Amino acid sequence: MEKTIKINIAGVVFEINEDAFELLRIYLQSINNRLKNTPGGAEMIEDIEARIAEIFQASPSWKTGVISKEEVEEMKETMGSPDEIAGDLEGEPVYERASRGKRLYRDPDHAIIGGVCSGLGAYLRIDPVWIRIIFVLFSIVYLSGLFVYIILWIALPGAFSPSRKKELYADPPGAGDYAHRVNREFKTVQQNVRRTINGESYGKVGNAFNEVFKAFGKFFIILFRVIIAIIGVAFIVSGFSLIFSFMIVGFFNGTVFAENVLDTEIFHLPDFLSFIVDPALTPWLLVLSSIVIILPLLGMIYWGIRMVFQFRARDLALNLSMFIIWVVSCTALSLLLFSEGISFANSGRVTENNQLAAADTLFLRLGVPIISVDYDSEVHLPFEDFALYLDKTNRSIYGLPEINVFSTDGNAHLDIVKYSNGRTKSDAREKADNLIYDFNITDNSIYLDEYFTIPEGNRWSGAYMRIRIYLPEGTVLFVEEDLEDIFDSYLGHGVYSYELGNKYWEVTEDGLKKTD
Amino acid sequence: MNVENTKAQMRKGILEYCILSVISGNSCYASDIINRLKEARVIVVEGTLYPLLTRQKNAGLLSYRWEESQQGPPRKYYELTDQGREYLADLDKSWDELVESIKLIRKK
Repeated sequence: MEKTIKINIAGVVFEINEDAFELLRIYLQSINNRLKNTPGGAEMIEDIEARIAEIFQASPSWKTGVISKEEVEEMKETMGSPDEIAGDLEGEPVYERASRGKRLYRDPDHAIIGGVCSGLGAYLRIDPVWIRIIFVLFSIVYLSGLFVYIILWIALPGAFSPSRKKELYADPPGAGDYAHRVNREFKTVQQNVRRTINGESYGKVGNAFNEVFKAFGKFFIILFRVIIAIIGVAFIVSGFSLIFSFMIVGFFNGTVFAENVLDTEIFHLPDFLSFIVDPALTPWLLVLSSIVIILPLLGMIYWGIRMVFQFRARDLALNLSMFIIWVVSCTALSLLLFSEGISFANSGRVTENNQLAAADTLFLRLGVPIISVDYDSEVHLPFEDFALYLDKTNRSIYGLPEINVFSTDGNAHLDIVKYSNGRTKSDAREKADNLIYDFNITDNSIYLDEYFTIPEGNRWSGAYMRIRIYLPEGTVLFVEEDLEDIFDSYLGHGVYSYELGNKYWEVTEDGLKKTD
Repeated sequence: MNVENTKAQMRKGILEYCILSVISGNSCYASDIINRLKEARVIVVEGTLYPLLTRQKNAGLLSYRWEESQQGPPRKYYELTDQGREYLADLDKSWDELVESIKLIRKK
């Protein structure tokens, strides 16, 4: 025997089949969902239940016993579907929620992966194929399209219910819609004002003023939304371009699709890092710094998209977890950099003194130029006015020294002052001492190399070098043009390094002076 | 454009008028109203009636009193209020006007 259930509808007790009950329960539930939030909804539901009880009482099985599935189906046909019952309530001005208009959702009905592209296509009324192509294109470029897709997949709710589908496919989108709505608002106001003036029984004058203010309010809300959307577009564009520039410059050596777009190897973060920190840490630093930089940019793109489409999103958990990941990465990165930074904590200096033979005229000439060194990349450090040259094969680093000339009362000499940072003072001095600089002194000439070398295997730790040439007053100095670039830029008496080349200069107490 | 849709819209437009007309005769409860409307073929499913009744009641056009019934739950008997009667008179007039307008147009 089939299981039956006793139920009470509007005060009347019925016996009902289990599967018939399930059908009835779903029916009443969906009517309840549709009506409960409308004014007088509870009363409507009560009346409908009373009528259902009557219908069941009128059916042949009343008295004999159990209500069957067929009878429930019949009753549903008589009463109409929840949509039909509530249908009349929609489109009424009182029920603002039903006329919320257009919204962005994922479209699971036409999805290939998560329905993000089909949703965007349905919302924008274009073939989702174009959206898919855009996402694929952006994914080829450093996977950014893929990341944005995943974020939207998580954050965008799917259009599973009929009302959401309606919102997704609703018309019309865009600025035209806003203009239309503003126009409609103002028309209503005009009509109402006219009615009031004509003394028709529409309402009090106060009502008309209310309408005017409401319309202005709505106008500003719409204006505000348009502005928000424009800012959103700016967010998206700058987010993507910042990611691209970061990746191009920092990670991929100027390559996009294996093509070197920048034409030079300016700055390759992974290589550069391996020259200044423990090579074992380089991958970690790269991953962490990427997260620290790219995550906020992805967030910027996501919020840009949110501002443009103004969709409902369940993204609290997403935002929160991304934020936590970012904070953790920042902390880890600073800890790593701090522990590495300790090796920069103390600075040290070593001076190498070389005597020069007395001469009336001294020729300064270029020894080995930096271009003869086979380096891989040139790094200009921020906030420093010198460059480093990195050689991947030898794992050596080259830097440019700075030359200056001073007068002395004693003998002519040439000082090589080497600077470096280190964990301790003596460590710094040892590192400074390790720096290699080649020069050659002959009778009346000094051949100076254009660069110094941080020897193979050593990391860069703030090394630089000064070459100080001390000459008795009155000595005449000839500077070869190729050396200009590594001279200090100002040399006293209004003399700048760029004018030094291939001329004779007299050493005076306060700098170089031109001879005739 | 779809003729069923247009017909449904027309029916919907006059449904409120029909309900008030039915109730104006003498006070009646939901089933009476439904039967009359079904007879006149202006209603397809019964469910649509209840939201309309509640709305008209909330607008002050209708009132109701409870009456016990021999079988089943107590019934709501609806009546027109004074305001409802005025409203109906207004609608009667505009309906007559509409019929005249249509007549004129169709005669051309």
